[in-house]
Parts: sequence; C-alpha cells; structure tokens
Amino acid sequence: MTVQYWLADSEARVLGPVSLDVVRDLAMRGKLNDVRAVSRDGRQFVPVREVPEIQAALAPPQGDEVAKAQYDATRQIREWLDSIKDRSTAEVFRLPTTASKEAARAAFFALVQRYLPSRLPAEATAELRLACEDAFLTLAERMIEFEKKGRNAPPPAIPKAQQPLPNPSASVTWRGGMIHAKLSLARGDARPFTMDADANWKADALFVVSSERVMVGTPVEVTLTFEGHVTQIHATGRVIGVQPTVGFGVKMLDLGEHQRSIIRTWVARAS
Amino acid sequence: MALPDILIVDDDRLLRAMLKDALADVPCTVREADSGETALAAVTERAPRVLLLDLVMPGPSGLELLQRFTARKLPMRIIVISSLDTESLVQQALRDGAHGFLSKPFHPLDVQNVVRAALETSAGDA
Repeated sequence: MTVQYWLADSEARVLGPVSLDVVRDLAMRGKLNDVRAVSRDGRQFVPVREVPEIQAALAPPQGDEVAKAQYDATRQIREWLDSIKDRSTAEVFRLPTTASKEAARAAFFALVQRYLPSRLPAEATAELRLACEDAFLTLAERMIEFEKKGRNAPPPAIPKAQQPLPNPSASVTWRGGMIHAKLSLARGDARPFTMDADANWKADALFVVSSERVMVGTPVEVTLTFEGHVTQIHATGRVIGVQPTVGFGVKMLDLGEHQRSIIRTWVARAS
Repeated sequence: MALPDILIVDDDRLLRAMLKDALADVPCTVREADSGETALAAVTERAPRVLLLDLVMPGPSGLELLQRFTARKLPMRIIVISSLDTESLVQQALRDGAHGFLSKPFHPLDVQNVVRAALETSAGDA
C-alpha cells in the first residue's frame, strides 16, 4: 500500500493524506514553500529533516528546471497579452455584457493577483518580471477604461509612433528651499527617463525640462503621474546636473523596488 | 420553498468573504466554517447541498474531510477550492469524492457557475 503523508505548515495548517508523488509534483511547481512538519499517520508530526524522502522532495529544483519553468511562464503571459489585444474589456474580464462595475472590479482583482510582481520569487528572471508587470499594467489600464467608458469599452488605443508626443515640460515650483517638480507623462512618453546620458532611469534619475534656474545639490520633490494609471510616484532627491535654459537632472534618492519597476516597465513599453 | 444551503470551509477569513461575495447572486443561504473541526460540526448539524472546501486547514485537513464525508454518503456536492492545483492532486481530490475543483485565485463567475451546476445536479439527491 502506498505510504501517505500529512504536511503541516508554520501555522499548523495540514495537507494530507497525499502520496510522495503528489508531494513531489506540488514541490516541483513551487506550491509547497512552508512545510515545517510531516506525519505518516495524520497524528504524530516530526520535523521535515526526519523524513528524508519528503526532505528530498521539497529540496529546491535544479537551476535548469527553474529556468525552464520561468521561461514557460513568461511565454504564456506574453501569448495571453497578445491574445487580448483586440478583445473588449468585458471579454478580457470574462464578464457578461450586463456586468456591473463592482463585478468588473472583483474580476480585475481576481485576475490581477496572478501577475502581481510582488508575488514573484526573488530569483525570477527579468523577462518574467517584465511580463508580469506588463500584464498587471494592461489589466489596470483595462479597468480604468471600463470605469470611464463602460462595459463595452474597446481596448485602449495604442499610441501611434508618428503621433508627436506632447512637450515634456514639467511644472516646477519652489517651496522653501526645495523644488517641487510635477511631471505628467503621456502614454508612450518616457523621455524624462531616457533623454539625458547621466540623469536617466538606470541611475534612479530623470531629466526635468524647465527654464527654472536651479543649482546642483538643490533638494527636489518629484511627483510623477502616468497616463492611464492610478499609481503616482512621489520621490525626493537632489539636482545632479544643470543645462541652463533646458532643464536639470534629478537623482531620486528614496525609490523603492515597486517604484523602480513601474518606471522600468514604463520605459520598456515606450521603447 | 427553502433556499439551498451552502457551506464554505476555509480557514482564511478573507477567502470566505470573497466566496460569499461571489455567491451574492446565487439564491442560497451561506454558512461558514473556519477549520476542519467546525466543518465537521456544521455538517453533522445539517448537511449542506454544496460544500466549498479548502484543502489546507488546521484540524482535519480538507482531504480528510473529503474522505470522511464521501464515506458517509451524504447527499451533498463537494467542490474543492485550492491553489494546490497540480494534476495529481486534482485527480486525487476527484477520486476521493470531490465533484469539482476550482483553482485559487478564483474568478467570481467561475464560483457562481460551479455552484449553480452543483445545485442543479444535486436537485434530485434530496
């Protein structure tokens, strides 16, 4: 008779009885990350290290397997993104045409959970992270479109390359000894993050187009808004370079990983 | 005529609330259980028409509950809801008596559809 196992996590939540094959299968898919104790009868639990076959099954997969799983996941997300390009938002959210905004929100939150960049493991490849960010932002855009235009909203328009982007001037004001720069970025416009060789996104910096006279070292408060997105970025930093009458570079000093990932995705989508 | 009774068994309060919300448009009464023990007590008190069952819980696990309820041949449909949606575990749950398997994170419409279907197929059991 096949040996059965019960697995308990750190909160004493139990899965079982399951066979070793099921444990291996779950572990391979990264679904068992918090197993602390094992039982063979569902009553007496011992630490995982005392059950070698379970310990081996739970061991992290080899690098090749991880890389292949991440490659497959990335490809699936990209294919899904391609497949929804021409579908209406109701279709993407798998909602009936009579669905309410509340139903759309519930569908959005259910869908978006699959692509939350914050849920990715630390070793996730850059490609997978970018694919998740694209999926997350696409769904967010669709939700905003749905709320603005109703359930039959077509897919958001993709900016045409030949369409001139608006002047990237920022609103710059002084508060005490500090500059407050507000930049509203149109869809497809990542120029503040890419136009300057030194003050660019790779260095947690941006270039503010402004005729305001500033000095290197001046403290700056930056507010960034992205067309089609509800998320704003607020950051503080300092002026790191000045081009008189053209503008100045700002190094943002308190960006978190989430904010970096928004900027990175914005730049990637604009390129 | 009494509304059909649905029992949600999940130790996560948020998940129970999401499932309950998903069932708002389905004419039914909803009870909740937050562990294997409370689920056993709730089913003993009155077997629901449909039971939405998490697999990983304190006390008797979801799979143990599934096996026990199946052995008692209770006239209820059991739908497993879990993020542990590997082929082998889904097959085991179905072998152990589950009538359906829904992956977490779930879509509210999928919950409605699967529960409506279970209610329809269980109509002749009572």
